[in-house]
Amino acid sequence: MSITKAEVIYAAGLAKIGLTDQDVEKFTTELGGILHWMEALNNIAIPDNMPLYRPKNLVCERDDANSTPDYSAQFMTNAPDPQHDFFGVPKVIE
Amino acid sequence: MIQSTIHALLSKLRNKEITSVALVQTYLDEIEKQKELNVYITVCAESALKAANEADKRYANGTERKLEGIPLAFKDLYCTNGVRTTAASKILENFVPFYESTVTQKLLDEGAICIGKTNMDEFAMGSMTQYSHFGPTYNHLKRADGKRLIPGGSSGGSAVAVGAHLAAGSLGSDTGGSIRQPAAFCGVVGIKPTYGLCSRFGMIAFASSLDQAGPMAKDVRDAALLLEIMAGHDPKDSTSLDVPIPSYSGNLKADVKGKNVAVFNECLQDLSADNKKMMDVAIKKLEAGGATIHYVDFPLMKETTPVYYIIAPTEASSNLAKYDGVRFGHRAAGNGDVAKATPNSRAKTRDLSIDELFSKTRQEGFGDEVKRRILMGTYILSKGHYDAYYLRAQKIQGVLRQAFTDLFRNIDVVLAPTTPTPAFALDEIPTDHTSIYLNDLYTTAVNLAGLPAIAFPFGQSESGLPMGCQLIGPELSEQTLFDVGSYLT
Repeated sequence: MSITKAEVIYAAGLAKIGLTDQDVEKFTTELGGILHWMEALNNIAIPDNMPLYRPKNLVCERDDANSTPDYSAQFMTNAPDPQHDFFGVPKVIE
Repeated sequence: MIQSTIHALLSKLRNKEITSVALVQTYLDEIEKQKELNVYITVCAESALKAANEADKRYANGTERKLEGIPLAFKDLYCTNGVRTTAASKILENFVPFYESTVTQKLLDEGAICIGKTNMDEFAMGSMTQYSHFGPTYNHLKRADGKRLIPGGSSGGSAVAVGAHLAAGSLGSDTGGSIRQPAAFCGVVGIKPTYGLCSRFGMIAFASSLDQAGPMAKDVRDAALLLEIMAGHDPKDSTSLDVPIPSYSGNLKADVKGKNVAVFNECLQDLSADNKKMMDVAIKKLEAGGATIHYVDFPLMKETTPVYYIIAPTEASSNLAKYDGVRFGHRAAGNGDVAKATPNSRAKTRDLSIDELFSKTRQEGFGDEVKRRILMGTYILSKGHYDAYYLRAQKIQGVLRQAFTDLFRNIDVVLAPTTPTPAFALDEIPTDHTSIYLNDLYTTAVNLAGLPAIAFPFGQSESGLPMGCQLIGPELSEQTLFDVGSYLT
């Protein structure tokens, strides 16, 4: 299965990654090659009733209680545009 | 002194033959001497010497802990409190965590010293340590033709740190072979533990269902010692196993008598001459020690590599969505330099839409391999492709896991090569990505099934480079892997 330039542009839009025209060209070729390689999986037989794999130890429960102190001041130390106690961003609502 | 194993160094420290300050200083001098290998992103000279001074006081008053005064290198995806943690990405170039990852905290709590943060493939996506914002890391080993070699990856910095004596031991992480493959290329020992044995809290995530922390060391005993300290239940990681952790190093027994060892027929096909020789010698040595070799058909070992390249990018596309330039990390300058945060520059950001900020930040902040995998993961999860790729991959992952469960009813460990070839030169890097991905041919199935596997050097290639041997066991069989590995080395 190949991938088209339009599909690469669509995926980049979903992933919010800006691409140049050269990037689109390059990734279309490269991703097409990788998808073609993945077609080999069609040769592996899967039983009809095969359940999906899930890591089995995903039921570790914790007390339903707040265990995290207020780290807001520390979080702001890595913020690229701290404004008062908030993360500065461009205007969202037009 | 710096060529010694951790257990030998501990003995010298206890006997007052050396001091931790002298040890740390010797490593720091060696790091400076071998700077061209580009092993470290950040060297923690000042804090390491301060900690070494404290360690020496503890030795003096008899309150030393298990790893007192031992300098370790941490892969730069472990969050370290107050020390820059980048995942080798421009997007986290200036990120300084205010918390410590659980596994590094456990090592520090036993007296280990962080001497620095090692280079890696960006967000652990790669197998050569060539995809780093901070430049490539080079293998300390040289081939007869003198060409510079790749160290493997993504934990290439951590592997070279141990191999080139730039740390006593190190931490790597293994999502599809990222500890074992560089261990093989650099002639050191590395173990990928059972999924859930080590906490992932504070590890920068690549593919959460596959990522696992593990040590890299000069010998099997050191790896066992580091793992028994790192492992253990952590309520901060919901996938963390709540099981008792044995004293792997204390229990270590170099013995294979009565062990049933499987060799996959598919792993014997198309082997390079070097790998064939290595497997032959390892099989003979195991038989000589009283193990029984079983030749088994297990085609899924090699066939499932593309499954990894479906599951891992899909999880990565989700895990890396948080890097958007809003709360932390790099932010694109846009029409005004918002990073300076002056009232004037903030005004200019009004010209930039939030979507533009996201896409420009991620375009600038991520390298090509990360973009490639995020795009692949996003495409696979998008409408019309989910069933054909992701759903099918998950089902095959179930088939693989079942096959391993059936196999380990009668088998103790599997013997396999770690990599198809020894370390190769920079000018031998394949140009197409699927050929690069085939470096992981013998490693990804282990992660997909959540199993433990240890890699260690075993013999040499014709060109004089170390060959990598791998042992795979059922869940929580780390002790057996250490025992058999210890026997073989």
